[in-house]
Amino acid sequence: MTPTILVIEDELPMRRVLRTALGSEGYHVWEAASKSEGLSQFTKRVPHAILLDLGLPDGTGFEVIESVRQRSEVPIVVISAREAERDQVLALDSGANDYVTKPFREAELLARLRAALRSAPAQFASHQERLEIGPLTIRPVERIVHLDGKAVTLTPTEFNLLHVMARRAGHVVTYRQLLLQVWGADYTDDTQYLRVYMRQLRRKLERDPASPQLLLTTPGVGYRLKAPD
Amino acid sequence: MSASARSASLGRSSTYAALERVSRQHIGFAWGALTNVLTTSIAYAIAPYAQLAHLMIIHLLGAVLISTRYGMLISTVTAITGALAFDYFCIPPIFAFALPDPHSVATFAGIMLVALLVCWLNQGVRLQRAAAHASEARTRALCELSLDLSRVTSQKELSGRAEQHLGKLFGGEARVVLGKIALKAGASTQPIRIGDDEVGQIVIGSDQLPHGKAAERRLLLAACADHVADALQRLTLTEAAQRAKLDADLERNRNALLSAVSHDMKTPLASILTAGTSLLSAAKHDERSSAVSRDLLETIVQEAERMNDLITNLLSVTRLESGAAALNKAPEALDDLVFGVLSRFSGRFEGRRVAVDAPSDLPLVQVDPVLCDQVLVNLLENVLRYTPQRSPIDICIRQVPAAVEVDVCDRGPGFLPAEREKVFDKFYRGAAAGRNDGGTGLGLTICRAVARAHGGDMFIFSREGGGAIVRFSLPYTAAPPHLGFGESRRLEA
Repeated sequence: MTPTILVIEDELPMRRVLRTALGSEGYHVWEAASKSEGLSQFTKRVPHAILLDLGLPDGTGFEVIESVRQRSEVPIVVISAREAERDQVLALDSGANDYVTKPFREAELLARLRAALRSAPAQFASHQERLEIGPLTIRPVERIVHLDGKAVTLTPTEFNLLHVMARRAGHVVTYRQLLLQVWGADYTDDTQYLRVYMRQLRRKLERDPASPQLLLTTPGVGYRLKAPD
Repeated sequence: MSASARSASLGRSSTYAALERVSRQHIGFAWGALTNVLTTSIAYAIAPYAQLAHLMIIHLLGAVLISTRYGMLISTVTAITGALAFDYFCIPPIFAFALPDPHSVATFAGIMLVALLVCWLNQGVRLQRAAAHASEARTRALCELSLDLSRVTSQKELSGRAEQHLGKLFGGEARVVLGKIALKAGASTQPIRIGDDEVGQIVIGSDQLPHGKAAERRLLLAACADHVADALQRLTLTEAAQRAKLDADLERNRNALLSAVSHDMKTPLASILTAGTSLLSAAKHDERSSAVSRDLLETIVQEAERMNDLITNLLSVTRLESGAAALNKAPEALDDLVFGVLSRFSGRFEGRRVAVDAPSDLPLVQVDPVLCDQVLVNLLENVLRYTPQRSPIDICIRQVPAAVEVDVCDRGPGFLPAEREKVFDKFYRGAAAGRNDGGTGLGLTICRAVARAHGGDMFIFSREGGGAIVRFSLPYTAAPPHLGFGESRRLEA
């Protein structure tokens, strides 16, 4: 089956480039040049994933994310300018799965898109008995983690933190989302907890904590558990 | 006007005032004499038909009339001369200073006493009225001064208007000197103060005050000085507010321009880069494509990326230097940031030994993670670009009093002592920099701007044994936001 991607982007040259790049990878592409056009296309037929530009002539990408999320869990990958970390966080917090900063290389975009498409059924992942991400094996029910086949002892908070990231492996999980899901709504501003626990988690999971290969930081946005491509 | 000319004119005006006072007194005596002639004539005419008491009432009336207009001296002289004339002309024996009987003497004395009393009372009323008039005139003058000064729009206009009003108020010449000019304080000068600062002086030429005494005059002068000070302060504040508004407008325009430039330049670049990489990956999979076209595509992609870096750096440096970049601070672990950057660079170290020395209890520092990440990226880019391949990189993070420092140390050619400050200048390229090495001459400029925006700084040192140390220091003053034992347990629960 050919996955269909809805591209919502107002710049014609960028749309053309995306059409070609996605087409050559075998994706089917629908295009929309504005918020209203994108949403009306989405109402008619649901794509497998959405590539969304944040700056649209008749509204913002955030509004698109909100409208889409009211009806569907379809993966959304946001395309945004590099300066706007706050926008990226906002987009992720309002329900986007991932983002790519402009300008991007084709390979980067395709990798993110593949990860997003894979994650489509991952909303059920929390119920899975086993999560395998690279060298990591996580058994949520027993709360056991194996690294390269060896059991790792994690404190309850460390485990929860890893589990939240594992369920969305390959995607950036914002600080807010992590704090909300691990510590609760009262702690969404206490990023220092994250720093401390992430440091501990890295000491236990990374081969070289000085050069993390599993738990990656996206400065100002969040953390990403690297998924093998 | 020269000082001597001014004092001459002041002398003239006081002489004129004295003359005026004397002639006013003469006119008073003349009026008194005239009144006496009139009352005595009337009394003389009706004397045969009237009683003595009636005649005396006529005399009393004349004296009272004079006392309503003139002072005690004129009134008393008028009353006494009038009484004498009356006795001489109207009281029998006529044409002789004699009184007919003791009874008349008593009446005459009584009337005289009443006349003098009324004169004295009138004197008080008149003085009070004059004082009230003077005070009203002063209040009005002060109001006018204040109102007028509230409309001025420049310091020059302020001193000009104030001089006009002061001249009118005090008579003669007045000067208002603004600015911190040390003039000699004296009887005719009044300092203008805002708070405790003397910001100018009022110099009054005339010693003469139209109404009132010396103390009142000082008070009035002080009140005027207060009004001038208020107006001056208002002017200063208005100017400051206008300047602030202008600055804000400028800032808004600059930001709007920056984001417009950013968007308009980066959007086409994004398309070029994605298209280039797309073609490049297609060419790599296509065996028929030539090495030349792959090379050319590679060039397009690299140059687009370089162009993008240049625009990003230029915008960053402009934002940072204009103070337009709002720092998005959060408690961050600097070692975490360093590790993050290193893992992104991992594919580019090509046999270099990279060592990080960081204490395990490094405190979290309030920084903008994105900007600090950019600093670290720029510093590493520099090391990779300007030091020999396979030469080691050492990164040392440590806590010193009031700061956390990150030293990026290399074994490259180092910096010439003369260059160590210049390399932070915009577009300055070090001696080691080649023309086509992909550098923009903005990397270190941004690094220092970021450090300074955080209240820290950046310096370059030469390293013992060869190479350079770039020190990125960030202030660390607040209590460390670490987790206490109790809190840690609570969070684990």
